Amino acid sequence: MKTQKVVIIAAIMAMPVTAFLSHAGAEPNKMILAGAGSNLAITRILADAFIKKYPDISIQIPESIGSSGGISAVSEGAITVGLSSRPFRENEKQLGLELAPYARTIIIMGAHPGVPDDNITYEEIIQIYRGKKTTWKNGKDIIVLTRNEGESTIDVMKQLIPGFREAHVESLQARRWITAFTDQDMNKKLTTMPDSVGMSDYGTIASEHLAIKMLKVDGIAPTAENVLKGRYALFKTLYFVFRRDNIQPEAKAFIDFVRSTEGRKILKANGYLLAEKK
Amino acid sequence: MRFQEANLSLSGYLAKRLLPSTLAIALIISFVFPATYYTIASRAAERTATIYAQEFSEKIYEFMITSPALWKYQAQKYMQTVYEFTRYKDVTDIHILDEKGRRITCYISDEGEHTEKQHFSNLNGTSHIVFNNSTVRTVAVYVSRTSIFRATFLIFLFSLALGSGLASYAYVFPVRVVKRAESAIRESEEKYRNNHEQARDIIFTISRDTHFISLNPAFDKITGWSKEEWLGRSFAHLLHPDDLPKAMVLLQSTLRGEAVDVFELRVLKRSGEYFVGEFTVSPVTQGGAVLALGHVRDASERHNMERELRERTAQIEAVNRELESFAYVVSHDLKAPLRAITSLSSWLATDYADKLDEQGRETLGLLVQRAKRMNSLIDGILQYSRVGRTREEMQLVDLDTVVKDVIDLVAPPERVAVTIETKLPTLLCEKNRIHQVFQNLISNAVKHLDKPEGIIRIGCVDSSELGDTPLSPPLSRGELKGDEEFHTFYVSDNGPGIEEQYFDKIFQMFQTLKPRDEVENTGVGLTIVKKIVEMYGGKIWVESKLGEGSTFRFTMPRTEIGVKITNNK
Repeated sequence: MKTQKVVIIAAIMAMPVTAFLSHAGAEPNKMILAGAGSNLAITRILADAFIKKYPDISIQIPESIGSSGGISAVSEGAITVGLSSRPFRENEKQLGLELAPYARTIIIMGAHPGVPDDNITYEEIIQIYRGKKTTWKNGKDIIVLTRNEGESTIDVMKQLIPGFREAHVESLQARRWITAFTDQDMNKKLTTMPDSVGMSDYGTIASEHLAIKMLKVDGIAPTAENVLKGRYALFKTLYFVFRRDNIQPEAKAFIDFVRSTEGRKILKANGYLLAEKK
Repeated sequence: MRFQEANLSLSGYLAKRLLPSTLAIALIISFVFPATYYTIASRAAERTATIYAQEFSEKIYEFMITSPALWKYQAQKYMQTVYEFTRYKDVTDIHILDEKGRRITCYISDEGEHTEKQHFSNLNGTSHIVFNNSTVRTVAVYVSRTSIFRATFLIFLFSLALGSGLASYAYVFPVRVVKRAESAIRESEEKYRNNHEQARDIIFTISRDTHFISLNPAFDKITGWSKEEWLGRSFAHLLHPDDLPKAMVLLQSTLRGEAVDVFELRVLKRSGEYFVGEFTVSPVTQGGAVLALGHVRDASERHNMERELRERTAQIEAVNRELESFAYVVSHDLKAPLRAITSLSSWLATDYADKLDEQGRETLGLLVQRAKRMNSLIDGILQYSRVGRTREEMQLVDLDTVVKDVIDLVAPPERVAVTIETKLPTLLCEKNRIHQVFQNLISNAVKHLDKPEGIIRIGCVDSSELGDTPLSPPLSRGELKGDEEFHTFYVSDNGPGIEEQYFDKIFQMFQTLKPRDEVENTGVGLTIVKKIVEMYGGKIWVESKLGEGSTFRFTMPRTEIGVKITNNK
């Protein structure tokens, strides 16, 4: 009921959007993929490979609108395929959408390349976000970067690192740290701000060749091997979101391409783990 | 009583009238102040919230324009905008409503429903985002009014204290002033009533037509009438008919406001007798009419006493006059035959000298001598009686001069040294009298000297000087107060001295310590001295040791006191 109304509102209100969509409808070979920032890097690479193969199809990938934005946009019909770096939340499960996992990326604690430290413990992560640990080994002040509430990396860390939930909520309420609202923003800050620390993902860093130091967590390096062997616990899955009964053929073709051997090769080459087929 | 009741109701009336207005003051101050503050502060906060809402709307509008395709789904951007917008603002919440006024929650948080519930302490300002002639979004920015509530409550408390303080002051102060005035009036009224009721004198008021308006209980006591019988009646029938015209004149003068001295009228008692009343009357205004307010004192007793005193004084004066003239007449009358005896005896002695033998001549000689003594005695009485009977002018007398004159007059023999040891004062007195005092004392000293070399010392000690010399009579006989202002004079000799038993006797008339044959003496001198000294309010006494000499001391009041005594006389 609510969903229907929102769809109507979107249709009536967002006139340019409606215009664009109608335009998109007129050109069946064109499609938009929008959603979580974590998905963008690898999705672009995959899209490029796909377009090489099907040059008459064009794919547009705008800036991050977040997993939530992607899911809502698909739900309201603004786009046919969304990108999400997390599974559905309770309120999203009733939207009648489908999730198709296509890759995993390792969540890493990243630091500016100038930081001398190589390792960080769970306890230190808590202490840093609570403002108790304030310096690196070399005595320099730690510049702490954080992500907004509801972000998928934060969701994973809250689940897996004991005490992180409280530390994060507390730090956000106090507005203690510099907050990044997208993965791209976070990565940019980590590369440009000396002595900074923050959370990012292995895939984006590898595929975009970003100068970010990936710290070992509790002495374990964030590698595919360590994740597969269960030594390194922090990772997240990337999904396509779509409505099964309303998917463009081009979109379906793209999803199939990603899941093909070719697609899997590209994923692997860029440091992503493969998501097992559902 | 009526007066008092009127006053009581006045303060009650005032209290009743003041109560609503003071309550109104308290209410106005207690509630209007905080209410005004609350309204102003809330409006200001609402304005601020509205401005915030407008600013926020602008940001979203901009964002909508720059990213038209997926603006609705830019959850992260919205979050960032909210986050950055609220960073340094006192904003409790931001609601974004769709065109139907429903709240859109996903922009604020991805985690399900918005947790913050709208608190009643929030105020909001709203702004509409219009796109292409449609309101696409409405932004409501909430700010907390907790601080306004808190300040309002504090202002209320303060205003309540101030308002109730002011109101109670405005209520209590005038009532207290009136009450105080009332009690002062009541007190003075009570005092007046007590004076009126308890007075020993009659207190009355009379109207212009001579009728009594009021009378106090003393009227009943003094006259025997009942005041009810006389209230409203004319006072004319109460007075002696002879006094009535005088009374009418005095009443008219009083009512005209002229000052009237105390006067006396005879007032009729119930018993039919009259008593002399001493009247004091003054005009008073009561209820617009001028009345005469009077006091009457029963003067009969005073009159009787005065009469008695006058009579007694006259009697005493008559007796004194009789006594003095008796003494004078007696002396005078006695002197004539005595003079005859003296002359006749001397004639007899000369004319019959050849016929008288030795024994006869001697007897005649004794006769003449006794007659002369008799003559001096009579002279003494005459002198004594004259002291009280005749008076001379009071004048300032330099005693140094007087004493030197006396010594010259007495002309003591060579062997007697008379010295004035101190400076003698100047006194206001009768010159001849003080002369008489010193003459008697010095000549007595010379007369009684029994030593080959006589020493007579004269001096004066001021009462303020302290020394070995006693300044007052010995305590056993002294009635003189030590602190009285007086001069003490002394005349001291080295004569035979006087036994203590005679210390009083020597001042009595005709008392001599030695037979008159040895020392020719009338025994009047010291009596006269004593009379003069006492006439001036002084005392005289003697100190003496047998064989060593005597000192006569007497006191005279200092000049100022002398003046007072004279004036009193």
